[in-house]
Amino acid sequence: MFNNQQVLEAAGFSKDAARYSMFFDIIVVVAVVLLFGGVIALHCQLLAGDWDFFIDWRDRQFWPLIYPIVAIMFPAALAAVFWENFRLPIGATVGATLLVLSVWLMRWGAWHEFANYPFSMITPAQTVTGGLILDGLLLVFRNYLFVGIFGGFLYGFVFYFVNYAPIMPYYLPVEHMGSVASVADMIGYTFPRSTTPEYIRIVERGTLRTFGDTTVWYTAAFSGFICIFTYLIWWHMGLWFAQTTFFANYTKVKSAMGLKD
Amino acid sequence: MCKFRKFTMIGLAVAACAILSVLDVRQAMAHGERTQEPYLRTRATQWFDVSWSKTSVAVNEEMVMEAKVYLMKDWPDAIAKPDLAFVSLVSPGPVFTRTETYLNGKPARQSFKDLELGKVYDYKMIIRGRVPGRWHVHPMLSVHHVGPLVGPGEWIEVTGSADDFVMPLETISGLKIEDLASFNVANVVGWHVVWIGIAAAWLLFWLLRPLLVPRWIVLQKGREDLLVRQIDVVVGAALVVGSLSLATYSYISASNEYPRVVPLQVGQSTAVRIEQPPNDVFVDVKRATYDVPGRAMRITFDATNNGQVPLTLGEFTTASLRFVNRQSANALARVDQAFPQELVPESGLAINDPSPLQPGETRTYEISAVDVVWELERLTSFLTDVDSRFGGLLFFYEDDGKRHLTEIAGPIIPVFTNEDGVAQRQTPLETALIER
Ligand SMILES: [Cu+2]
Repeated sequence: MFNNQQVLEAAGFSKDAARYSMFFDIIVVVAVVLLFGGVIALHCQLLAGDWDFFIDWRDRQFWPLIYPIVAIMFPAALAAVFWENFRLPIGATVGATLLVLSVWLMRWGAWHEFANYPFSMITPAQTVTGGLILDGLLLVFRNYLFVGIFGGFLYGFVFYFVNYAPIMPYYLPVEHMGSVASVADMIGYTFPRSTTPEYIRIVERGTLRTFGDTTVWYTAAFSGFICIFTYLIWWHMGLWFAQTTFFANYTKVKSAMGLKD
Repeated sequence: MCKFRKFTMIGLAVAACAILSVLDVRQAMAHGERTQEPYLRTRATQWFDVSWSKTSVAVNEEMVMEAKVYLMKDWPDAIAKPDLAFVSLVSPGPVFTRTETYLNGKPARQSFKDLELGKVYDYKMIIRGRVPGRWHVHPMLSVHHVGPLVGPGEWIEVTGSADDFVMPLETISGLKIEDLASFNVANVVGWHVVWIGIAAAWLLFWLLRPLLVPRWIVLQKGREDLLVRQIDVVVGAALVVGSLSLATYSYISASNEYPRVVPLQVGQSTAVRIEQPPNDVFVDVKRATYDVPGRAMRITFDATNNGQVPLTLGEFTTASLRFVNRQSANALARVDQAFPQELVPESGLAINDPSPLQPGETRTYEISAVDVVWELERLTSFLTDVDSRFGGLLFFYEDDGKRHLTEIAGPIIPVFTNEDGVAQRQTPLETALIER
């Protein structure tokens, strides 16, 4: 299935060199998993966390807009580094998958085990679908600008639909004390977050005035539009941070470190 | 070497003890209310007639928490007015579940707008035990741009096993949900497993090759054709088409299965008016002091009875502390034996003239509330406030037990020592009261 031997030969690697190289690859894979698993989760927690924390905070206006815009940043940067240096079309998938795995870990440990929140309230969203599309398109186009325009848009656009499908039962209507609530509202109401009350939910206040009755298609499209630019900017951020720059050692610094000229 | 190892073991043991002592956070979790600035607790809301229908419930068993909450007219300038508020409770996480909540008898799943200062509101919440343990539970009103305004807390024991907890619910379309805590979780996990599975396959497709160094060298040598073959591009294209198809399928099939869904509901309610308790007493604060070493709040005020019947001063309450005139049977009758005793100081309320205030009479009252509880509840940082004011409620009683409710508020002055440079202690009146 693979042309591993050919690649190693073209690189001029002996058998031993190939073995050491593989060992080095494994170290890097482990490091990427641990480091970026944490970093991406933290990044999303800080910039878009609230809209994904609880099932009754996932409205049709802010959640599908903000979460993908934030969650495309690191995947774009990783994609740039892996593609430009190694022609590996895996960066976006790596980023998206690490994000969802780390968030699951956090929801299980910190939210469920430690703080007693039920899983129905805190299942995370996933951007793996978008990551796969970005990587696949990168392989097809081999051009980050086109990937940004088409892949970036799809990343933002599909987010709502792939995430809404599994949680749709949470939006079935329920009657509670004489008014309508969704099951998600009921979950948020039933399991109290002592200091995060109802009004803290920044949730859409009504539908659009025209264009039919649902905001979500426009939100998804707008999210995709913003994702195009986020992708392109973070592609360059990735390359910028992956530079190696050498500085000449200043003599005084050298002597402070005990080095002679 | 051996000595070194011994020190290491001792060091590890000390570290373990330190960590374990930090981990025992339950005590700290119980009294979060004490971290709130005194002006929030003494000048925003006053909670009274608070009751908990039980102090021990089994998992899944219901209990009722009821209270009255008065919004002070002297609401602090430092916080927003109660334009939007939510009826809630304080407990360490969702160890109880909320079944029903009411404000002035109206269902309170949503926030309420435009609450009025100087009014009493009726609070009621039905909760169910969920996680076994001993939990400190408070009624609470959460106010937009203010945060939680907390009432008195009671220890409630939840018994049984957390695994037995269920919260059934039926949707309008007739779907019976067995347990809200686990509803649909398997479906979400299933879809995540599918997508992560595809991602894992895609990653393995690339990770099973020589990776970083060889690929970098090959790329530098201009042999990109070895790194990305025609077949790889085909697989990539198939991945894009497959992902989009699966995404479309998942959305369409779910939409067909659940054709009737609603968005999150966010409407707000307006509280209904309820009958307010009578208030025939006009209060004019002359001077209030807080004696720091003596742990005593002393207030001098003129009170005028504008009503038709004599009224006896029975209680001064602030920040859920209840200083009760122990000579008034009507006032004592209002102190439920089940009410947390640490909030009802034994010393009570010292009054210079506890006799009834006659209709039309104006009298200068001097009252003292002396107890270490001011310190325990961390209410003494009046002294660090920018406006140095106190607030509370006075309860006057008619002979038949009918209660009049009067807000009392004004500037407060700290007293550190008396003229001789000696810390000021109790007045003779207070001493007599405490000794009795
Ligand atoms: Cu407490």
